[in-house]
Amino acid sequence: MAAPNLSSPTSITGKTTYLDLTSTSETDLLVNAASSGKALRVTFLALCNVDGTATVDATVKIHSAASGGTGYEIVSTMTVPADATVTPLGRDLSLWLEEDRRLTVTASAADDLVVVCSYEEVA
Amino acid sequence: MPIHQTARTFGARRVPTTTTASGCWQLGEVTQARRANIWPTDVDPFFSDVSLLMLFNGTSGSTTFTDSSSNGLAFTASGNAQISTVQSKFGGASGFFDGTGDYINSNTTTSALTFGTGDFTIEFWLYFTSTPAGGVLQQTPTSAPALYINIDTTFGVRIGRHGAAQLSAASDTLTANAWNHLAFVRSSGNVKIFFDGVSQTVTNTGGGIGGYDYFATRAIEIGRTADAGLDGYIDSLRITKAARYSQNFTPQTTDFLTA
Repeated sequence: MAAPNLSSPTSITGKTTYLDLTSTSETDLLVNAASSGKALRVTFLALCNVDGTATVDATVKIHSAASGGTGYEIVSTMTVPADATVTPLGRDLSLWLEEDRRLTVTASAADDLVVVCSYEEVA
Repeated sequence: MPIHQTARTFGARRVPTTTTASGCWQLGEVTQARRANIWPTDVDPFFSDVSLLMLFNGTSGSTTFTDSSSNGLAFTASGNAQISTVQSKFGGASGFFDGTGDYINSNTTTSALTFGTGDFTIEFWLYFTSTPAGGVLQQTPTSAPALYINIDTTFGVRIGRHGAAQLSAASDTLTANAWNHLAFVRSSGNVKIFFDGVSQTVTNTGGGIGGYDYFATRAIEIGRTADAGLDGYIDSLRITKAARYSQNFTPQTTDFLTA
């Protein structure tokens, strides 16, 4: 199924997903499956360091495939200070996630980083 | 545009400092702050409690061993103790001890291991080619109540107090020809030994060391104990007068922070 023509979509649905990074492994945040017939527009991405004392480094990548693929950094080992939130993406700085693409997040410490992502699902 | 005047900040508008930046920040603000060198960088929240920090970095064959903690102890090498680039966990080098007369000494008495009855964390990376690896560190003079950490086939990995009690864990799960992370943590009188971040089953001898008063202010030696010399490589040794780990953890993937 082809991605929708953005000039005449069938539906646009606002959605939000969350992630609590309990390990230092790269973790899928948002996946747009191959042939989903959808395009996902990320309009808000918040990286929140919930640790009150230690900084945490965050890396966000877009991958060239919904599974595997090559990762390309949007944010690379950016220090998120204690009790701080950084919003690398927003409505003024949105990102399209095409079919067969995914966003991943990696934290330098477990249980320190919470991620909230709002996006428009265009079909 | 000054950072605090950006229009898109939500929450209270503020300017970050080099140590704190609580609140919500957009990427542009972070970029500005980083360019102005006022965005907080990685800091070790326990750094003020770090009493010894040996990164074992340097050029191959060097006998300069630097303590990167605020104590800045100056060590003198004996035997063939040297910086080696043959094996390294971080920084491209490690400390090499051949098991025969090799050690480094802080020369001067220090309170780096003077924990009293308080919490502590002693951790390091160890690479050995055959077991037992030998003595890792000790206070000198080695009479009681000097602290020591030793690895041998009789007791396994042990931390103790010369002439008195000790705590040990079987060493057969350590891996030869690979880097092993070892951590010894005392928290509120409870002592744990971690291998690669995993708590081990321990054996107390002579009552254990949970309540022991490590009051002695003495010199420190790395690379040997009264029982044996260390045969292998050691990297990133850190002693903290606080309990860093209370449960299983993932050892650090980059070198210890120096601030």
